[in-house]
Amino acid sequence: MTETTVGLIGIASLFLLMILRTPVAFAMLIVGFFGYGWLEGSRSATALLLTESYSAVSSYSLIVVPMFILLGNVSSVAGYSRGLYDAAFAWIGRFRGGLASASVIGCAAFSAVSGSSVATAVTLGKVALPEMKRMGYADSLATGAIAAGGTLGFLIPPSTGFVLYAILTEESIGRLFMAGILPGLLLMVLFIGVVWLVSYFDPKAGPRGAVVPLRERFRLLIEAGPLLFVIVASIGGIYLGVFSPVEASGIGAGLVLVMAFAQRRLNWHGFKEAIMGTLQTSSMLYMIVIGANILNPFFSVTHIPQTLGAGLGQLDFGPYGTLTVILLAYVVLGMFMDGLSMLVITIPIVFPVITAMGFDPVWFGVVAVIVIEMGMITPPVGLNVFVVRGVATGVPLTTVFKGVTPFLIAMVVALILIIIFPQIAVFIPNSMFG
Amino acid sequence: MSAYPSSAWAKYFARANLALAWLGGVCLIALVLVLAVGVIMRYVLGQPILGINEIVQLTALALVMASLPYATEHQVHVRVDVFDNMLGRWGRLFGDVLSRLISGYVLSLLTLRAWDKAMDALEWGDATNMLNLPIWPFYAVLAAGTALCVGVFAADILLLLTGKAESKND
Repeated sequence: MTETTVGLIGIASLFLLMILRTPVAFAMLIVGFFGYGWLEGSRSATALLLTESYSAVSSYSLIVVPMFILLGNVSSVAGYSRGLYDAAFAWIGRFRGGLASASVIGCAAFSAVSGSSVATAVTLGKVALPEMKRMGYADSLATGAIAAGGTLGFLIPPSTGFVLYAILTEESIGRLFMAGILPGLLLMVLFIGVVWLVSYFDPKAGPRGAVVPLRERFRLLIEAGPLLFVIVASIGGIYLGVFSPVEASGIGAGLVLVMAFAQRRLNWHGFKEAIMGTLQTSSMLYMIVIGANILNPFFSVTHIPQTLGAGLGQLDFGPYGTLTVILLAYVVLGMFMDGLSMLVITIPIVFPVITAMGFDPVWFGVVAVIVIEMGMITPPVGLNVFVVRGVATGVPLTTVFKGVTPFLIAMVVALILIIIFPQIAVFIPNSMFG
Repeated sequence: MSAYPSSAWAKYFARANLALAWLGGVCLIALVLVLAVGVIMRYVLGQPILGINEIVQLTALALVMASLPYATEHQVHVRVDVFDNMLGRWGRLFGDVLSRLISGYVLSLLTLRAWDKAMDALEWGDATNMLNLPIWPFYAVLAAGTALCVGVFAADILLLLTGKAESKND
């Protein structure tokens, strides 16, 4: 049996295990361990198991994961996310669909402290959905804006997607974080455009809010100041080259903890909730990295990436044709798989093909993350849609899926723009790092 | 709160997971402090702490491995649930038991290897390069975390097979 055949059996086993409800991290661990053992012997496989697990959990770069998760969790528990939303609403609530637009801006701002789409959708959903319901917003627009806005959490730095991509491809986390800024802002603007268009054609879907006096607007902006300061200090610190991403994550988490305690926004119960939530999410993410670290050497010895690259080369689609095939495969996979799982399983196979075709690895990281984000709001899985449906009691799932459709089109537009103008993604990192 | 029913063994087991998770929590706060102090010493006082990376990396290791059993007990690991309906009740039960059996087997091998490595590191005095920190305790935490995780899988299988837990279609 050839190594490639063993690799294909491995991929089939991986999907079978996942269908049989094995957590993705453990499915990768199992297939990687047994597959590697099959080809290289059981002694090598057990040695790999220990060395890769140890190196994954002691990886310096990965420390941004628990730190930024803690930052997001404390911000949420301490109510800072509410402040972001209130400030955004005060400024743009009076416009058509203003409440939904404020939710999108709130999602984008919260994304700058949280690396998770789900966390962003849940946090802002709890704050904004009842308000939109009270104001008579259409359920489809309200839930669609939150589900789509939540996906910004995966793109705007600090993004767990970029951290995992960087670990898997050995690219710079700082570079990827910076590459996510402009595409994230572009997507935010496009989402606001969608809200405006929906409200323009159906004014009842997104009625205007009351005008908030200027003094009140500034008061709310100042109230949101502490979290905005943390965002500027941590992400701005990376941008200016003052901090490394790991240092920025530690400073961000430390600052928000100190602020929350100093302002008496965090009691023991909230603190415990933030800590335990951080530990659970961090363990889950690290376990995925361990699984990927065991699976990747197996894929390497099977030569699957090279075989796939050669196969795609023979199709003679050219670089952009091949890229389109890969992105379409991502869209299909995204309908059934969670974004992080999809990233760790596909990147080791796809990345060598992409770089061999001459595409910028950082640019592809942004493109891959946006396509994965699309998977978070496409049926039948659409994790963010389920999450928002969980918060918006009484709203049918079909209404939420209907609501996200225009936002999905906006994501396709953003993707096309970033493919045509790669500078949108690589301008900031290239101007910073050369 | 424990994810297990309130029998005596389950209570002690959940307490062990929780205690280890609290160790993870202490590591998390320690990590914030060490990183913050490192930045202040480096940028404000101009005196970088040499070898701070070693402290940070080993603390992160302890954080993750100490909280792994707690996270596994609360079933936070991501899984694909699109086919749950198609599998039916018995299919789900089969999948849940099978996945825990194989995962438990692989993790038990990791536990044994990590424990052996901890004992070797203790015997030979293995330490980090810069700060000369002994590395055996960290391999021991890795072994403890994965061992308790194996315990979580065993408990899950027991509960699933005795009907005290259900293969839920979520």
